[in-house]
Amino acid sequence: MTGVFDPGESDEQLVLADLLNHVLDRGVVITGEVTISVADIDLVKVGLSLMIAAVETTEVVQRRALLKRQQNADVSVLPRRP
Amino acid sequence: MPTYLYCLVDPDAELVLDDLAGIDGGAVRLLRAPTMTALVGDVGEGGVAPTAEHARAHDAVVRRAMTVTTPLPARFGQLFPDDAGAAASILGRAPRLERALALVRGCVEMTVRVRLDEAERGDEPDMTPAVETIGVGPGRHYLLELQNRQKVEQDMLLSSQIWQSKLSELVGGEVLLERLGPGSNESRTAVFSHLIRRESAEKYRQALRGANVGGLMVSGPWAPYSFAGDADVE
Repeated sequence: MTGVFDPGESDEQLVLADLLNHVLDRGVVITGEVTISVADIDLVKVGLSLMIAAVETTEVVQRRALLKRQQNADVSVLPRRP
Repeated sequence: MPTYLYCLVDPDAELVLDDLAGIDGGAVRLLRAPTMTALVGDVGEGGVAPTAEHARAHDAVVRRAMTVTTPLPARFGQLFPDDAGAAASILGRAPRLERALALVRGCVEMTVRVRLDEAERGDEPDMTPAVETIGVGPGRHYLLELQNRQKVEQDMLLSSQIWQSKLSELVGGEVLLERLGPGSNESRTAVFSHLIRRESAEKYRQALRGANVGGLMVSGPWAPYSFAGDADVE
């Protein structure tokens, strides 16, 4: 693909990849349960590696948040989904 | 029922949410705090699967907020036990969130994807593998492949830096902040995120169109996801 690309004119797949990249891997994180189900996900094939990276990022945030909560023992932690 | 967070906005933002549906068609409502307002909704007890449909629904709520103000987008999938839990978490991080809102106020994000193998090659580095791996044993093969991957990554990094400089020449006057990545070594793509003033979006696009440079793909304006920061990181 060459030239400047305007998502309003072409290539929905690439726009979806950008959407997933923004929504799943960016944005402010406030400590809470970032609950994302990995099983039975229904993803467009493009951006699957992106999805994996986004989930890994979320897991890092979750572990960091859990560690912080454990250090501040007055905060209750919701049980993880089985 | 858990409370799902979409984004945060200034407390005086005049938002009309009557017909706005969030994830799985759930209603979106405002959660007001003294210095900011959260757009939240109800979702099922089992969490929210990271599907394209759900991602679109999340972004649609954020984009509704964009029509009247600058939202601080929340990352997908953030749940709280209830509205009180969400409010407590937000208030607990209010100073940081207020700074983040102030940073992005009046701005949008533009994303530029650069296909490095389609871009100008005049000054592109050699991207061929460093060493041939045919005819060697498995252990040495692994090490040589690793060496080749590292060379590709280094070449990608150098190419990205070259493109960073080129983009700076084209649109640097409009860019307030820039973030790089994540790109893709497989598709030889680098991704640049630019925070610009909302009113500069068309001028930004025109500058890239006018340059007529191959290999560029521009999307946006987005809400400033890449510049929203991480409220849990000091």
